[in-house]
Amino acid sequence: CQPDLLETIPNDRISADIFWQTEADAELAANALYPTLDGLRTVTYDGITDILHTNRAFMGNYTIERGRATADHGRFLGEWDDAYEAIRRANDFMDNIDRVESDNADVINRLKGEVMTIRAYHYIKLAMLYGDVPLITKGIDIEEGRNVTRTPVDEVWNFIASELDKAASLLPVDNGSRISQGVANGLKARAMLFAGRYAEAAVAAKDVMDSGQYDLHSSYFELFQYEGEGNNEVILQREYAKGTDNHNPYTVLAPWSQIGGSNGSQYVPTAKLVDLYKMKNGMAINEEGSGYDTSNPYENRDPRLKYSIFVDGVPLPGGGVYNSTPGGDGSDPVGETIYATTTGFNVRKYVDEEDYTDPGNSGLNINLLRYAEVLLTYAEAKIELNEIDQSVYDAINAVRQRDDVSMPPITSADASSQTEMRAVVRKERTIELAFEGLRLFDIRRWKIAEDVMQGDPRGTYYVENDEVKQVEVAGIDRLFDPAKDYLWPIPERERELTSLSQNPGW
Amino acid sequence: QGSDSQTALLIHKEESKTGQLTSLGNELRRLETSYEVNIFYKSKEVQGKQVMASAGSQEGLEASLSLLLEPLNMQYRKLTPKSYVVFEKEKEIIKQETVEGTVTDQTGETLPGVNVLVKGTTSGTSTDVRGTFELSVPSLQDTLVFSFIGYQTQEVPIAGRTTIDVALQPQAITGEEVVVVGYGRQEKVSVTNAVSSVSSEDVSRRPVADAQQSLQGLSSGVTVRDQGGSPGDKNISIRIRGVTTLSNNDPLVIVDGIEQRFSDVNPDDIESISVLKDASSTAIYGSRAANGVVLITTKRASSSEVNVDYKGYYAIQDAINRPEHIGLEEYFRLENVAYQNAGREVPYSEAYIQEYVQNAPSPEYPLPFPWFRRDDLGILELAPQQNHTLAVSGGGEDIKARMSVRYQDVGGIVPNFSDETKEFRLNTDYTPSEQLKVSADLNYRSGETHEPGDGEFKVFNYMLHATKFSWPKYESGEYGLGPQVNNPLLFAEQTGDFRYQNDYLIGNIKGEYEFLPNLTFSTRYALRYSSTQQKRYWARYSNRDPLTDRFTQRQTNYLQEYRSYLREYTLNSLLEYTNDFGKHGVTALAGYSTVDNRRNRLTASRQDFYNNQVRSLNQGSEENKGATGRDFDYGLRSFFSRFNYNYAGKYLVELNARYDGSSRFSKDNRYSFFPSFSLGWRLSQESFWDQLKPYVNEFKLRGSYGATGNQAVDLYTYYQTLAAVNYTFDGEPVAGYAQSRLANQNLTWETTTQTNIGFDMEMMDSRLGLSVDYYKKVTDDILLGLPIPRLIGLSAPPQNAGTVENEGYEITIDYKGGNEFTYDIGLNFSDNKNEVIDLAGTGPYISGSSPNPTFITKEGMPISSHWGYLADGLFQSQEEADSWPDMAMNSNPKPGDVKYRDLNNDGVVNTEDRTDLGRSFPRFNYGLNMGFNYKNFELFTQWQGAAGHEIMISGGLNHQATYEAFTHAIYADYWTPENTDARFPRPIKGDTKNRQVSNRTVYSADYLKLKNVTLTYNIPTRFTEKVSLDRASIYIGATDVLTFSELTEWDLDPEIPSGRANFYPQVRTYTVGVNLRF
Repeated sequence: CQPDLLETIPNDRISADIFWQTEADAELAANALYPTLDGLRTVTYDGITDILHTNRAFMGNYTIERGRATADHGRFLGEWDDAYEAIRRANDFMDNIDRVESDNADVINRLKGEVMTIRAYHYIKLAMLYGDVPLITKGIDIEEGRNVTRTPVDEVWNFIASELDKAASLLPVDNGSRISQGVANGLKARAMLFAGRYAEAAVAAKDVMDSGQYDLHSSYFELFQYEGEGNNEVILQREYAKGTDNHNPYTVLAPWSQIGGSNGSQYVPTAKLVDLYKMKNGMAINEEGSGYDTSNPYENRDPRLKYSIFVDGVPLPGGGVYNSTPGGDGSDPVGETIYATTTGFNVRKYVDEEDYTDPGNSGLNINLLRYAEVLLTYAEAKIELNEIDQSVYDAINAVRQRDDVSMPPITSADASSQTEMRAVVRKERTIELAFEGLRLFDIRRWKIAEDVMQGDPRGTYYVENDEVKQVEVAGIDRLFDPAKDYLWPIPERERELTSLSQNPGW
Repeated sequence: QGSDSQTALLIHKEESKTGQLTSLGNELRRLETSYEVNIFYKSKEVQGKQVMASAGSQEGLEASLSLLLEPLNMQYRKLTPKSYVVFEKEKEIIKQETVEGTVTDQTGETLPGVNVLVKGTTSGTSTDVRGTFELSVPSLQDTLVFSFIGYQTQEVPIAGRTTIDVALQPQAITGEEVVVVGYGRQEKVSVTNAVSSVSSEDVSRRPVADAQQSLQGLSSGVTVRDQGGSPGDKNISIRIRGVTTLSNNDPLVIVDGIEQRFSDVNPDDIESISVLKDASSTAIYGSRAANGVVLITTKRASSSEVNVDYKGYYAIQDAINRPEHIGLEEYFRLENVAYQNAGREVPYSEAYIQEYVQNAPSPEYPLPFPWFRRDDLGILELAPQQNHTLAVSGGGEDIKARMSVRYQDVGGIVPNFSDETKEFRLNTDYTPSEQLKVSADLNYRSGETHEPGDGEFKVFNYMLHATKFSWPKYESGEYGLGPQVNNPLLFAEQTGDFRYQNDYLIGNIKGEYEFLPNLTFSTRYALRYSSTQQKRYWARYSNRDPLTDRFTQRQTNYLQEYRSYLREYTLNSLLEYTNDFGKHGVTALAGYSTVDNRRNRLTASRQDFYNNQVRSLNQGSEENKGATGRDFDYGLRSFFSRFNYNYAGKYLVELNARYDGSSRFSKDNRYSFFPSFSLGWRLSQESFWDQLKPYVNEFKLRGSYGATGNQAVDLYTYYQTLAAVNYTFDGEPVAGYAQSRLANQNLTWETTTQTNIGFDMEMMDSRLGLSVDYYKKVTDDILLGLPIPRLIGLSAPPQNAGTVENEGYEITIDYKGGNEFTYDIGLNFSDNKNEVIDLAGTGPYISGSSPNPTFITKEGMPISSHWGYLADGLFQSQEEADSWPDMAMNSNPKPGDVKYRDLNNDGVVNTEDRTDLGRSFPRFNYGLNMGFNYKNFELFTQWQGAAGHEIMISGGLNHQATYEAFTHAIYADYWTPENTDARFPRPIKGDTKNRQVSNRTVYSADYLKLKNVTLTYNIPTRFTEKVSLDRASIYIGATDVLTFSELTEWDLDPEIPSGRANFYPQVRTYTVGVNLRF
């Protein structure tokens, strides 16, 4: 008769009672925040915008893209849930970190800075998606949870700003792959841009630019490939590792022909985006004398087009070239199956040849904040402040002129007024940051969603009987109600368990 | 022998010369000393007997004993080298007369082993292998008593004859039947609880691969759902009296006193199965008993006669249901209409259709989904199955044993599926003394199951989905690839191998000591060990369709090894007291039990092996290797007791109690108490019943009430713990820790309180039996993962909240009749109404979403009911469509679309308008078993069914060509302006708006199946004896012979779960078997 028969102590987890004692504990707890950073989800945000189409009618995202989701839609709850789970982890850290006995204040401060930054990262997302959200900064129990209320979004932005300032002061300039000062400042720049607080955005962006820590990588293509990992441009990324901490960008994004079974092509670019890429000479495709050839539409374009998107003629991971002409015998004919692209385009960012052989096991990192965005944020903030000086042109042109892009610079001859420059920076941002999870927030804050999110998306151009035709993606019929759709609803499920108010129109 | 005994012998010789008389007792004691042996005797047999002293002084002990005892008409027997027993010779029957004869059964078949006794004496014999006996009797006026298990005992006056042939009648439902109950046995007449028992004969009437199948349709109140499954992986669930909780609803299964899995028993080893249904019978199992208890007893050697039994069958399996695809031409037209309705270009021209139809099927013109076809294009084949059990039993007075060995091999109806089981069992019984009994059992099983590397899902899902227009396989060996680049045959044949091996060992020792008359102590210790090795090898493959040039491959091969170990130590100790005080009968039992369960598991993986033949971990690449492991321990400590009292066998009372402690709960909530009682009244024993007795010879009223528990909660949920979350910095893995779930310190057991009222009656000399039970059980404190606001950021701990009620009744009728042509009929019927009473203000819980199966658990409804829209047929005009309330799923309704109803009349049809579409779990279960015997033939048929529940078909079978999946022939009747009276709506490519979960897509799953037909021929003894066989029979049979169900028109089995029907299909088996006894 063993006295301890009923005292089974688990040995595959640790008791909360013995934790929070050493510096090592603090580091372990801080590490647990990093997996909460978004990965491929960034791409799926773009999949509910005008530049990327959710290619599967039975995926939840499709309903949102069409503007027909209701408050009980799974994604509305899922995003909310994941963000608050991360925030809880951060709150638990902040609640307990002072229990740790350490002589090394630097380490503790550094870790606090990391955790505060990641918490702010999630609040930025929540504020952009839902507007007013409960601002929870400590671990709460069930009863407290039932009684929380929504904090006005301005206060949430205030919190984010002050947290990121505090974090920046605690963080070192160089912190390896971990959250550094640049992340806190860069996220603040993003947040303030979203919040429309342009002066603060410009200052924060300038702080990053002045830190000397970051530089544009010479190859745009490599930024989204294994080859480019460890470059100087990426400020924050969600890291993955094959085997142990893998994910599947290839399975999700690769052209249908490049992966067996009913996989790939879950999100496909639209003609809306493709047409935005200028000619190599800097002219828009519809400009007179641009040299745009309707029967050869993807040649002589901004090189970022083929780095970002599989269009006809782009080499495929398994060999051969991409071709999506409907009814043709190319690699990915539109309409061949419901799993093939419906627009005739495929995402190329994050589709790495190396994953072709083991598609479900990718270790490719996902960029969450890169220097190019900071430059464009700086430029946009300055333009919105109407402080258009040379530094604005420099920032935009730096992005346009990295080695493997080398587009002609924008000069004051091309654009000089605030309106002109606003158009320039927005276009640049759309192209440079395509599929990186910012488009949804951009069309919201620019208030252009009701214009761009209407009707059916369109696809690739092809020649049939000597006639240039364009693929049409029928039956999507997107709707966007400006009175309601600029914010997601507070998830219905959450409202059943709390007394949270609902956003207008939902 | 040492020199001391030599000396003793010399001294003795000296003394013996005196030749005096001495008492026998003295002489025996002297011999004990001289020879250093023990001599036992009954004192009253020795007292007062005188012997010549010299008689005991022969050379050697045994010679002395003979000389001493012979004149006294006594004898001795050597027990051990050092002990003898001395006793009076039995008074021999004076051999006056000899009687001989043959004993047969009602069919004239001779019966070996029948006991033949002279009435009033202990002298007798038993029949030999030819059923004949020869017996000396004191007088030809005596009476002989013939008895044999399973037959009515017959007394036959000799009446002066010397040859007596007797035909024994099989026993009707008998009052003396003994029923296995928790921690013991009871006479059936004294059982006051709701217990169904199933005998080995019933179990073995239907050849099955898994013992669980044998219980289907045999017992009221028991729902066995056989959802098919690949060889070795049967999806069978057993529910006793419905679904009581939201988590684990499996009954507790006890095999020979130890918790095991039902499938861990060889059906041929089963002696009896008892299903304990009410609280009074189950409460003695306390915290594990809320879902009912199944007690299985395995066969043991019953007599000292050595029996060798062989049971074997060979069967052919064939897939029963093969969904029929719509005809090719109709298919193209349907596709065209579907595209047209979606506003898209029509894909197939008339000329193309004609060309295709004329040339199909051929590699250039493949059929859309040929996989289920019976011709060469189909991939479901006939598969063999065989099972053999050889059992030997027998022994002596002190030691008896039964050993069995079994081999089973089940082939797959698709390549690379198979299952093989080998096992043996040894059950031994020792009786060292009258007080002490010891038994030791051992069962070892080794099983090996195979399936393709990509598993069952890949093969069967792709038979219905995503393989349109794929030629199955070219003669050159390549597989055809349609537009979606899949092929189920390729997945079966080329994706590698999954091997599941299980070694299962259970050893079980029991000692029983009667240290006072009527008071017995027994203790049982069991060690259960299970080791599972899984090796899943995802092979590298590549395949190019030579005609379409489509290509698919897996470049990286991958191996995952999985090990899981279970060790469980169970100790049960019982103290039992039984006595009768005049008319008061008392039985009391007290027990103590511990279960110590330890499991751990381990996985390891590597990839990039040299080729597909190299399948050993260390041959894989150093990169991307992985290893994980988990440990699980739990303990259970219990004290329990039972008290039975009866007065004159008429009034019966039983009290049960169990006090259980489980490691799953925190210290404060660890122990719980589960009491119960039951009462019975045998009215048929009362004098006022005498007049009724000729009609109803047995009638008993029963009632019970009590509580049982359910400890089905994950381990360690009351701990506040941090779990590892890992991350990678610069390719270097780092550890992290975070809390992910709120802990609930207050967690405790679920409690089920059950009331049961019933009666048992036997009529027509017990040829007709009837049992009826009514019950109501309420499960409280159901462990619910009550949702908490997600903004708390941790997942919800289970909380004790909900209440579920089950109410129902059960009827069992048995009849045995006939004379030369005899038959037995068993009918059982049960009704179970399930209702969620309380979810602590939460819910409803909706799982799934349209067009996939959607279930709701909501107060006032049965658990997991179907949930969806009500639809009113199809729009016939645009005006009708325009005037209909706005439908969320269809913003632009057209004629031919489904009319979903606005149930809450708010002008919009949305998820708020969904309603109850019926149960997912059957309300009614019924079984009818009929056996017919004529001469040497026996015909057995088993009918089984369930009703009152629905099934939702989703995926390809629901799509109606909206996507690219299988299109069932039934969809030929779709709406067009020319066919407005259609059963199905207009098809729309890429749109499920007309395929919502509704009363149109949920079908009645009521069914009645002829589960089994077996025709047996018992080979007459005159043939069997020539080959030294005692008995031999040969049978042919078939399973799942007939099915009556609404799902038959979909070519689906009604027992499948809701969903995509992408499971390994149910098979029908055609069986040939023999049963032999040597």
